[in-house]
Amino acid sequence: MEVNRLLIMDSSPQGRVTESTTKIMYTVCITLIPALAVSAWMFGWDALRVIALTAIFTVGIEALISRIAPYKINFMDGSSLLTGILLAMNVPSNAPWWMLLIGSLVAVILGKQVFGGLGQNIFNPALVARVFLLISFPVAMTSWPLPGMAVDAATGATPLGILKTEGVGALANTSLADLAIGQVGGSLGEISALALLIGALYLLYKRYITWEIPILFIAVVFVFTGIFYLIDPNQYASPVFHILTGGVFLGAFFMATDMVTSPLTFKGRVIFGIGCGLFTAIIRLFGSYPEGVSFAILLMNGVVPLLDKYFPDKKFGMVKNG
Amino acid sequence: MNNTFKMGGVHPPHEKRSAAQSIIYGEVPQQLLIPVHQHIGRPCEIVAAKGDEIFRGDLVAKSTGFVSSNVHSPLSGKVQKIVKFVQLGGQIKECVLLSPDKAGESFKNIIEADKKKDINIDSLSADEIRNKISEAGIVGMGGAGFPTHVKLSPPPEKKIDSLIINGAECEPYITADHRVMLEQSSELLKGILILQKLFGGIPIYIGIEKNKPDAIELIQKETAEYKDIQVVPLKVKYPQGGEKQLIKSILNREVPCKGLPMDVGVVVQNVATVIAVHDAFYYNRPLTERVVTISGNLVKNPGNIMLPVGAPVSYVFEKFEIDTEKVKLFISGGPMMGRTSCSFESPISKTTSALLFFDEDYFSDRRENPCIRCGNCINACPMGLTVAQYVEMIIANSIAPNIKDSIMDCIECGSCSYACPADRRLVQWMRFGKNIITREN
Repeated sequence: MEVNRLLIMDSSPQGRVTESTTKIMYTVCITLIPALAVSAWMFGWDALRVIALTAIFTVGIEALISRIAPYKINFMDGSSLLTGILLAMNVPSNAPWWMLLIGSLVAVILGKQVFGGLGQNIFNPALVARVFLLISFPVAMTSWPLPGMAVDAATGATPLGILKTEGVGALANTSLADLAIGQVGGSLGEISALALLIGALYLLYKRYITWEIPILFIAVVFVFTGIFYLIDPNQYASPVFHILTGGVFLGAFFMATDMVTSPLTFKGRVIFGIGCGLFTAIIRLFGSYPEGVSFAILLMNGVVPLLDKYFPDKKFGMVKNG
Repeated sequence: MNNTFKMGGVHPPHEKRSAAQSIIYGEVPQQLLIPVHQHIGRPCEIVAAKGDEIFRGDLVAKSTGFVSSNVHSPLSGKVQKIVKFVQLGGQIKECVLLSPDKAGESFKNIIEADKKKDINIDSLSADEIRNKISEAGIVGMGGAGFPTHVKLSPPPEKKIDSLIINGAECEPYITADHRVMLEQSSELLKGILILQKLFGGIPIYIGIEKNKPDAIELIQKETAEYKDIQVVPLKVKYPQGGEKQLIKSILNREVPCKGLPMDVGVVVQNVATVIAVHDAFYYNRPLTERVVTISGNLVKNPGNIMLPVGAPVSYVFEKFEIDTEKVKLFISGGPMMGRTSCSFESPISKTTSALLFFDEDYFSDRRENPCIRCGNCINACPMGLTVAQYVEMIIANSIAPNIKDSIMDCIECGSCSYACPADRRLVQWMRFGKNIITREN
């Protein structure tokens, strides 16, 4: 028997879970399908056009970068596809192709690769792109096609936009049920809270996301806007309206929970979730923008390193025995 | 009853394929390479010289301090030479090359030829017990190989009030302790009584994972008449057999950060070690052989075999029909904490609990991908460490002073790497970090 055949030498453990980065990323993409289906139903081919374009753009841009980047990039690992889909869910269905291209460039390059690629970015790439587009092209980003209309239909504002500009009274005709299933104007992913919830429940079941961030996020928005609703229902919209409109569900379940840009520790996640909810509510009620989810999440993304550092989990052996 | 530790842990497939196979005995091998250094602590001094005729149980290498351990010869024979050879796990260390007299004879007959003697446990003093264990070269047989007499000699200010016997065997594949519990339960009990005497009649807890119901039942029956010996069935969860986890599971005490089990009044001993203690007293037999599980997907009939320390790995190939041509991954120990090894001629040591043989495709792709901060390593860590964060610092070589103790707390169980979707070698990085910290001090 010869000694030193080519055996694999590796550090322990030799066993591995069947989970992989790629599997996680594609699973998250799949859980977005119910919401995408509702968008496609509401906005028709335009919705599918936006999704297809952003997906091709983000993956394509990352593939190009992978040829020149000094580090290894696996552009097929699903992370850029997920960024693309999330970006698509954050823009109106009538967004022109060049806007989607600019958004994809910002998301992949400024949002992710300048930091060193997957896992290194501080801010959620899709949200960086959304905010960039919102600030650069405010008109295109806020003229929303209304769903269920004929082709080339009129555009209008989102319920939140109406609330901001015209006040609570203008919303009398908007029913909460419409909000829940998606019969309102908005970006692709904002419109159906219910469809988003279906995907999110699967992610919770798979433990790809934890309950702390989404639940606290939504709860804080509900409580904060609820307090003001109780003070003056004529000036402020109801808390149910607030959590069902805009990007709260999308943001809470799919954007704020992004593994890379959310805290590692339990206490960190609790503070992160509360912070997201608080900033969202404050921007909506007192800010000049009708919607605050993206800004709130990006703000909290920025403090994640601090949360990780100052709110560690309890370690084994840190208590005195009783 | 659902005794378990709360924090972290993972559930790798059990794969206890050899659980139903009784311990077999082979014939005496042609050659033995007895490793001189088989324990944690100071290396031994070799006392056997080239050309010496030695007998079974003779001293081959002598302990050189308190935290050190004797090495004896499992067989009679002639010392050929002292050589350096690669050990299981990869280090190159000195070995005594021995040609046994009775090569080809049944090893079982040789073991059974040891004379049994009756001893009166009550007449033994604590020092007598410790000395005997120290002389017999007994070390922790669970894998670490820490000299047992050291563990049994807590400083006087540490009051020991419970003794835990570790039969958890939480590593996948390994069934050596399981078979030992089934086939040597009366020896186990006698060994336990000796250790109990040492600490003045403290309560004993025998922790066994629930995937070994036959062992739980048998030991329960065996110890029924002893009120202060209790069998504790444990939830199947890795690393249930880790000392600190086991103490938490059974007594709900947490060994403090940087502490030892004795800091919470507990001594933990592995079942195989306890049987070695029994053998030392009842047969005057030093620790020279052990049960080893042979398993893995290339082993046609996995099983458990009693091997003399120093037997080469290749010795088991034929007995278990191992397709050696296909072996690409060869692990000594379990898949979670065992080490890959590079030579089939490396010798078995006192701490080798299993030899596992796998082909190339058995485990997943091994390239390290970027961390996506999913937190699975943190959820899996039984010590509650923020592994991903620490590893980030270790890689950047900027370990914050306040996390140094945490890194040193890592028990290297492998749960984090096991759970990592990006296939990162987190345990390896943690070991690297430990080295950086030790070098700084």
